Amino acid sequence: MATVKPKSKVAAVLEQPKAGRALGMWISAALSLVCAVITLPFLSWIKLVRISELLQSLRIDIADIRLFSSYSYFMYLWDFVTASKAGILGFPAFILIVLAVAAFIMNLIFISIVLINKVGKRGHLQFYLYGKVAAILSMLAGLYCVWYCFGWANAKTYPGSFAPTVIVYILIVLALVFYIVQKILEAEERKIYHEHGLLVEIKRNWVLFIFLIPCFVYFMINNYLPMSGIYFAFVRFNFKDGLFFSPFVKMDNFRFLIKADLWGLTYKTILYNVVFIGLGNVLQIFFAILVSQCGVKWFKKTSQTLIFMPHFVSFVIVKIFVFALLEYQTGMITNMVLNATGNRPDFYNKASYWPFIIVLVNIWKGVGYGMVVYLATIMGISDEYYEAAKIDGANIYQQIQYITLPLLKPTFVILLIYAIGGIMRGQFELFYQLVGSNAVLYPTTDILDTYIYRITVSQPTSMAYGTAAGLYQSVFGLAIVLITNAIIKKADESLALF
Amino acid sequence: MKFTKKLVAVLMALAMVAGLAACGSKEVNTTEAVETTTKAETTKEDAAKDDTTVAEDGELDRSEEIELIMYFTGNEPNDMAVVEDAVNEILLEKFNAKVDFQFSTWTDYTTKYNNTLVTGGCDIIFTADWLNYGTLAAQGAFVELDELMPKYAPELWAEIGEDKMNMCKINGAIYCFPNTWDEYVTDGIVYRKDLAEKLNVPEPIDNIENLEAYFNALAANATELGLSGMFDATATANSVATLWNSTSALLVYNWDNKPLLGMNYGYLYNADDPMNLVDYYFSDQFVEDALLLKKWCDAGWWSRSILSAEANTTSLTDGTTAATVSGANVNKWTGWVRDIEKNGVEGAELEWYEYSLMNGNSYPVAAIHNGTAITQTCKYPERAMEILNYIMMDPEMNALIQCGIEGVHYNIENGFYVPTDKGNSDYAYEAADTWNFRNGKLKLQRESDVIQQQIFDRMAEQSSKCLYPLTDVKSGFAEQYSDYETEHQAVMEIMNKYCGEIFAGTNEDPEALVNALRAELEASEDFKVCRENYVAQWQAYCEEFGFTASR
Amino acid sequence: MKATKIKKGVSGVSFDIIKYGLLTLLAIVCFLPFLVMVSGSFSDNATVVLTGYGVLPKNFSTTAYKFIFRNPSAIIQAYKMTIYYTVVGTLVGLLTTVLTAYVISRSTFKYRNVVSFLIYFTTIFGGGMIPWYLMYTNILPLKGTTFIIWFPAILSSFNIILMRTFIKGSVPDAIIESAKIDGAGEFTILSRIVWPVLTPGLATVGLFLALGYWNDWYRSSLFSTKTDTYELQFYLYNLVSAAEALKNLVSSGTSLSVTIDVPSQTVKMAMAVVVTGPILLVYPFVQRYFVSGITIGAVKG
Repeated sequence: MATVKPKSKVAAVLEQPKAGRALGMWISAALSLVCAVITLPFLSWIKLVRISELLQSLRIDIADIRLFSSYSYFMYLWDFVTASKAGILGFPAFILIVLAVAAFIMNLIFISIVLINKVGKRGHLQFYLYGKVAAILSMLAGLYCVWYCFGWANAKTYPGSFAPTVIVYILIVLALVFYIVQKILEAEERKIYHEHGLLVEIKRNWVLFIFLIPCFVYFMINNYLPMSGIYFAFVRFNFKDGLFFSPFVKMDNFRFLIKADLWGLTYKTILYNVVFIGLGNVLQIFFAILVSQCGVKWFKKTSQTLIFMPHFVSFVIVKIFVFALLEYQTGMITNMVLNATGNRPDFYNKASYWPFIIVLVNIWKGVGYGMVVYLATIMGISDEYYEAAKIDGANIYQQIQYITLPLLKPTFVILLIYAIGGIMRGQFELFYQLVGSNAVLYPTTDILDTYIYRITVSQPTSMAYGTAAGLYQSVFGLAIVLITNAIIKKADESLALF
Repeated sequence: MKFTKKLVAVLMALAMVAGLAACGSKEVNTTEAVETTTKAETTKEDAAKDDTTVAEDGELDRSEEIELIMYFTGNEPNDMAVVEDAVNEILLEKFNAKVDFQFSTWTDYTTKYNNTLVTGGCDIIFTADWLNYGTLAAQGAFVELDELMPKYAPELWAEIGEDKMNMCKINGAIYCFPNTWDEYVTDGIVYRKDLAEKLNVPEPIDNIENLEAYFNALAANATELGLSGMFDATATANSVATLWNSTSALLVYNWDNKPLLGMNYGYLYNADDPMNLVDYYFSDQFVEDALLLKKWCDAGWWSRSILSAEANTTSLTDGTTAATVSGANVNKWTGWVRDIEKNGVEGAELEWYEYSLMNGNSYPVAAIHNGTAITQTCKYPERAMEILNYIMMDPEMNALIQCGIEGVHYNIENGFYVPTDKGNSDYAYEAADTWNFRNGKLKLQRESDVIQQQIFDRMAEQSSKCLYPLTDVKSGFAEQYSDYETEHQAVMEIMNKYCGEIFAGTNEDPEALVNALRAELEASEDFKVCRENYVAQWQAYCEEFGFTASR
Repeated sequence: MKATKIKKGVSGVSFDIIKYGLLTLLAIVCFLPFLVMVSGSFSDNATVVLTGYGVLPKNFSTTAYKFIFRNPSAIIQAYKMTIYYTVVGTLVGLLTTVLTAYVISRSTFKYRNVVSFLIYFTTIFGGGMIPWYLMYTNILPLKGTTFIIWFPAILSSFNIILMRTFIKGSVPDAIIESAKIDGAGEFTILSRIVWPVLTPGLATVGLFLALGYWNDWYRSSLFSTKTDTYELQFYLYNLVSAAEALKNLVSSGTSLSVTIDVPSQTVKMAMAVVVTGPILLVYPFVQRYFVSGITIGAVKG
């Protein structure tokens, strides 16, 4: 109970809400600012000891590298590790950067909250949460750096060669103080506002936390742990060093993206997806309503089943059919057009037809599957609404407009956000099967996924390029989703995804 | 606030990933890392020393029972477990070791093959040029055999011979050993002799006039003959390569006995002067060929929609096409003759004619075509080597793996291998796709092997007249483009963009297309980089192996 | 539904014409290719290649099916395994999905947005196939087990969020709160109040899960080491890919002693029929949850 003493004092100050709040904020902000400054990527964190021996054991030509006796965590990875080609130093150093940058950004956020001073009634607790996270991250970054220098890099291969600078220790101490201050302030504030923290939440809702365990285990194994593979985007793989210890090569693996017509590919990918999402959802909702309104039961069932069927026709078979329809000599549609216009269309040698063909096929294949979600939602709507509307004299169109559509909105929004998250990825199978390797059609049909596939398929160990491209798609996709979600949240908080 | 909340979430996610990744990867890789780094250092500096320490003790230490995983492309035969048990019985007794045969299946086999290597999923692996042996070896996927093999597999080393072993060198070291059976997979044309006679076309098809006459006659009578196409030519694979194969096979005739082969950045290799590559893209020949291909396409030899057409694996044997112009070899041909009879195509008679009869360019299959390698992650390379020696050299063991158990899966009648019914369904000839374990001397003979051997002999005779007799000059070379991979990809994109159309002959103005390709390549800095590197590597290769003469 | 029994106005009649007309049209467009696929599977490969597909089988032949069923025990085993994976995976998946979705649908759960985001985040960022493969083969040595075939697909971010929407839509917060006041535990609320009214949602997500399992071949391709654990789709897919791979290999010059004679196009059609058939038999049973409303009286209580 080391906090017993300051408790009363702080409490006394806090009892005058304005002064207390301000004091707590400014102390925290100052600490945070120092932490942020220390985590700037210009200050030296890692010191090289016994330089000549180290360079010798790393086989680095001294002229080869702009040699310093100490490096910031960023320049360490960027210059020293890259030049050393010692992959074993790379991955942990990469994590150091992630931690330090996260700490830096967190501190910045915290400071800006203080500066804006936009704290709501109960917002103080959120505010302290940011503070605590910032403090913990800063501390982690510092501790990790110490471990890296003494624990990892030294013990494994290059004994006595690395050491953290004083700055790192300062960071750890300051972050600790920062954290304690936050903790004290928070505890006091809690008493005033009767808010609770994580521990109380766990105590109160422990059953819910238990419910989440399978989900946690699953996503850890299946998604979060494998995410470490993002690092492959920055290495040149070789078997001797293995996946995580191949030499770090900076952004080399991204060069192929820049060489490509990146803007054109991105533009095409997004445009196709926008059309798929827009047209697809409109038609799915439209037909879902039609089906739900059918009174004749057998018709309702049969039509719904039939509309669902294209989902079972794989793209491999779709491709066979499309080819049978569009082939130059024997294609059914080709011959129909010939009879109608006297001209034989050369589908497979003219790119301009293909956006239409691809959109048509995609909608045809997806309408039944997508419809199910809407149909299930409509079925969840109580009959009473409609009965009431009918008594009020609403006709069928009005019922749809004022009851069905508004109630479909949450589902639509969720599907929309999902679709938008994948807006940088295409329907690979669709494009790959229909177009194949026909470069004549690429001007209108080449999307990011097909391009990446083409580049990586010929590579025996292509994870570097694939991961690099995936990272580009992910970052872009995340940005779009965050914006979309923010807009939706502004319009109606309950509809947002998170 | 809302925005910050989201940022917090993002950052927490990132931190979580980072933290966990650190733990996770530590688990996987710390031991491995220590191992590999020490291994790397020892192999670099004292590889020799390391080996001698084992050898000083005399015999290998076999006290520990080990299991080695052998990885093959292809499907697992039904009776693999039975054969595996029989193999392990012998191996346990002799070497205190077991082997586990694992298979990639043919679905996505390259991906799975690479995954297995990357994650260290096996000890002994089948390798070949079509599985990127060169690139993988250069990246360090396999153990060097230069010293390991003479020491622990001396009989096999002697049997294969140093010349052939040297053909497996990548960057100066040997990473795999080939099988010891000289086979010829020289490309050729398979066509319907009966149709040629019916249409009164001159035969055999051994020059461009006869070829054109044959296909023109077919195209004119396609509907009556019930043909969906002249031959199965497609571009379904991932690059121009497949289409190039199909059409270049036809064009061999056109080159007036100039044995030109292969294509990289528009370079062709001339078998009579290997050192000096021929610049095909910028030669007049390219334009001529492009015009010719357009002529053929217009004549209806193939569909105008060919660039998106699908491979039809059975079109020849069910009688809907009348020739195969690329990817055929003697082995395949004998199979097709059987299949077409089985399918009951009336009066069908398939004729084989290898292109080498015309251009004289014949060679046995490259050493790295069916190779065996020990992976970097194998813990007992010495013991693996000794077991491989046994598998390759012991008649009983070799036959067991290749053909199954005698009396159960096959019988020997009149000196020929004859499969039993069980053998046919559960463990056929080379059922486990162990092509790398073929030993020419121990290989069980089948009846069809006699005809095949006759043609092989014919090809061997042609080959002996070549500048470098009985040698596949170009297949030993694997371009190492990891230093200019991005440039390589960029050039491939340009080539992809034009070549499909050029080789398909579908464009109205092929000459303009060729010129456009040339213009874009000439303007591309990447193209220069690639070509320079390629030529330098190629010439270094020729010099290393002594392919410097010309005639 | 009772909707149509009430007297129709002009708008009702016009709407009838529109809906029946359009639905019939769409149904035909969707069904026709499927029909062509079925008749294609019963056609002779050579004839089909020559003359194209039709609504009726051309030159009736069962060669494609004979090819697929040439090893009946294997295909029956593959059916069994797929049913096993589908049933186990769907049940476990549904349960875990509902558990998770229930938690993040609760407006009194403080961290619902953080959890939702972390779940959603997995759809945007990924480390690629290699580390994922490494996870299941090296860190957790599961290669070759049946567990690994169904486990990686039990949860999907999409299904969870979809389920959350369904729960939010059909169970108002007020009901849960009043139940809590009455002393009901979370588990009781979930099993007695939420689960019963969730049928359309369960049916939807269950359908998606089941279809996912039924159509999967990729996990078998990566992780199955023994033929008798193959998924049906992979078993069939592999029949054709073997033929195509060997054909391509030959063009790169490998001499093979076997040729595989696969009537490729009709076999692909027959494969699709063999795979789809059982689903079409089961589908009507699931379908009633989408096409006829359910009583949600419990909610209004």
